[in-house]
Amino acid sequence: MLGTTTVALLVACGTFVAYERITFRRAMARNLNVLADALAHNCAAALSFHEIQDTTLDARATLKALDAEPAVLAACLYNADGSKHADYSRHGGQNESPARAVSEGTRIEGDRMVVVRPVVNEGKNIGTIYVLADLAESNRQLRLYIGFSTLILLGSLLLALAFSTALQRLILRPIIALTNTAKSIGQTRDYSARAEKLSGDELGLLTDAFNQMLGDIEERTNALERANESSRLQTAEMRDAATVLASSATQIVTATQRLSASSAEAATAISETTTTVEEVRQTSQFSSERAKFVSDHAQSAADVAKDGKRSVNQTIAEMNGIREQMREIGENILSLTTQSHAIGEIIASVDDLAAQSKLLAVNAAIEAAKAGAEGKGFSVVAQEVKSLAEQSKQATSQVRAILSEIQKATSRAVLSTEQGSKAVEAGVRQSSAAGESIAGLADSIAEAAQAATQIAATSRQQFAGMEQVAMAMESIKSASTQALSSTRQVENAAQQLQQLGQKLKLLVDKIK
Amino acid sequence: MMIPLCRLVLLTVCLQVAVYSGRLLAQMPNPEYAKKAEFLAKLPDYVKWPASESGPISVGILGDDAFAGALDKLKPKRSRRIEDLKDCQMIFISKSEGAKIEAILTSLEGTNILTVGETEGFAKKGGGIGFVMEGEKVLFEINPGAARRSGLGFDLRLLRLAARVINS
Repeated sequence: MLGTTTVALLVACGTFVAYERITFRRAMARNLNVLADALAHNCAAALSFHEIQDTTLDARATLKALDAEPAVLAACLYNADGSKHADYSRHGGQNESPARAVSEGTRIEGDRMVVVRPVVNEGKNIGTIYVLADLAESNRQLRLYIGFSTLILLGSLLLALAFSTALQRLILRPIIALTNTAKSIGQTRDYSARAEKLSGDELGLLTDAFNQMLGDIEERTNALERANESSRLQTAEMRDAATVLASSATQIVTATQRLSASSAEAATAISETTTTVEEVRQTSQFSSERAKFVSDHAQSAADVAKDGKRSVNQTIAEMNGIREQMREIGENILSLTTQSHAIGEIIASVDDLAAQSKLLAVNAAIEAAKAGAEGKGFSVVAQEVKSLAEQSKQATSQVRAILSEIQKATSRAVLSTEQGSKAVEAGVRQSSAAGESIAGLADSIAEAAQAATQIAATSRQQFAGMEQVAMAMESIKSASTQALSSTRQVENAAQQLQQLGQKLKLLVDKIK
Repeated sequence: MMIPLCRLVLLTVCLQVAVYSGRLLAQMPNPEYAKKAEFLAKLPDYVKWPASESGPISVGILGDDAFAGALDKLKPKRSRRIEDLKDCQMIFISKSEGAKIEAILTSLEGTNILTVGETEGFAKKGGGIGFVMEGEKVLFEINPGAARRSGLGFDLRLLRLAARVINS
């Protein structure tokens, strides 16, 4: 401790001495430079005009001013060509300046300092000035400084010795106790040891802090050991997990391989399905076209049925007309029969009249024959009447025969009419039945047409649906292709995962 | 007849030689004027010129030019009439103007022109600088008062070198 202080003091003193030496020399150099520049300025005219007149005296008088600076030993003024112009030496002694001008600058030669500066006037270099100074003064001061420093050093050392003896008792003992405790803990690693507290001052506090620190360290060491134990357990768990992970990865690989295979199968199946769908689509198209065809035909059949129905209705109407006419014919025939009967009665009366006429004619002829020649004309008339009566009788019998024929014909006509009427009735019935059948048929055809139209529409929809299905199948196909490649990637990833799991397992196995 | 002709020729030759050597002599200034030229060349460095002046100082020579080219580096303006030289800053007044010195100096009053002369008592008569000879030596007298009147000033270092300082 005392040694350190001594070294520090020595270093400090040495530094101060060196610093003093440097600053003194620097100040002296600056001082001499200023002096040389001032002299150079004052001697400028002397140097300028030395060729015209002897200016040496003037220059010498200027240099004489150096008497005021005791450190300066000699000085000299040189012309621009380097020749000596004027010089100066302290106490008029031997001049030590060189015969010719030397290079400019500030130099230390032994215990002398040399300053050489240019003489400049109006920017022109017209000569050189040389100043030689003694450093003996500086060295003397330095020696004085060193003497003082040594004295201070010795005094300080004595004081330090006294202080350290006193302080050792107060400070060093507790510190040594602390040091011993720290040393023993360093060797035994027993952090439960504690330092003995010797005083209540800052060192006592230091001891307390040290003991507290030991407590912290002890606590931390225990915590660290516990953490190590748990970390060992965690490593074991990790190893188990890695094993599980490795086997799981293997399973995943197997599964993905299977998945890949089934994906390929699925892709094939989808491809086949797509072909089938295409076929179905074509079939559906064909059936749609057929349905359209059927629908069209059903429509035309419905139209025909409608025409038929109309014809049947017309037939029925006409039948009804016929029936009406038949009825009228019956009635006419009936009245004809009645009139035939009347005609028969008329004919009978006409027949009577003819017989009576004949009888009369015969009577007239007899009477005419009695009247002889005058009666002869009458007899001709009577004859005529008699023939007329006979003709009438003949005519009535013919009429009667005709009438009888008419009556027979009428009877037959009535029969026919009745039969016709019945036939018409039957015709009407059959027509109605046909009409109804046709109507039913038309309805059926309409329904069929409607159904066919629906079928066509459905077929179209089905066809569109099949188109969509085909498109969907195409996308499914591409999706399945993508899925297949994805599955391959998954397979690769799973294999990498498996490798990773194995690496992890190896890695964990290394951790003990 | 032959003799006078020979004499004439000889005379002519002699004259030629005399003129040539005279010209030769004139080309080499004597030491006195070499020194005066050197002085005039360095003088402007030790004069405080008016602040407006800048660049090299223009020099004029009034009267005979005895410098024989020694002053040529200053590119002097030569004349026998002071009026021609009033645009110069420094005028050297030759010995030849000795009789007219007072009149010349009077005519230059109020100008910023430095006068340098070589006649006796030039500085005392109001000239700026007057050369004086002491045997072979060229010395000078200086009149700072005259210079001050012309708005000029002399460097103190120049005054120290003067043989005499006249303040009139």
